[in-house]
Amino acid sequence: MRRLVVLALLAAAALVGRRRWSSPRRERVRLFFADGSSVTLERGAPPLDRLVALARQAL
Amino acid sequence: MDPAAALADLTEISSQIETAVLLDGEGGVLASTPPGGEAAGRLADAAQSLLAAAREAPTSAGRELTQLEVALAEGSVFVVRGEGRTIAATTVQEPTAGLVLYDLRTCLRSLAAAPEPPQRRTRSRRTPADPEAAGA
Repeated sequence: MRRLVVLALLAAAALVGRRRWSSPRRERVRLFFADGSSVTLERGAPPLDRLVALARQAL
Repeated sequence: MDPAAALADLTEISSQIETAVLLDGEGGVLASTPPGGEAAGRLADAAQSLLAAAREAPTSAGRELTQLEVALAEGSVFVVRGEGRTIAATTVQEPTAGLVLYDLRTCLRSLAAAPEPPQRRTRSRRTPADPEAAGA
């Protein structure tokens, strides 16, 4: 019984750890327009680095 | 509505907002919270630069930019334009973006809609003037 509890705890910790490390926080920019449309700029999009640098100055 | 009061209401409503600044059509600071702080000055400058840079992005071509969000690990920056003004805010990490944008838009609308100073949002108990009419 004790082994089962230990195994369950280990499995839970592994799941939490995997989730945490497999999805690191990413920089993201979202632009919203008057017509109701929006665009999400992910890594690699041309103006992303500039916008991120500007935002970082404000934080 | 007084810009300072509008920002005070905003930060009271939205616990995720850390710094906010309200700019007029020319980019002049109308109000900020915390008032006159260095962080607010940085945010005002960054908001203007962010809008300019975002407008130059190829994805913005031919479209009117109204809002933007930059999410970083250490927090997010939001900029909203409308009613001839711009409002910008920094938030805690991983904020509820939709909620923050809604609160910022509401702040701009409240400034445009209410020329008189608003009543503070305090809950007061109503006492009916006519007890019979109130069903007592």
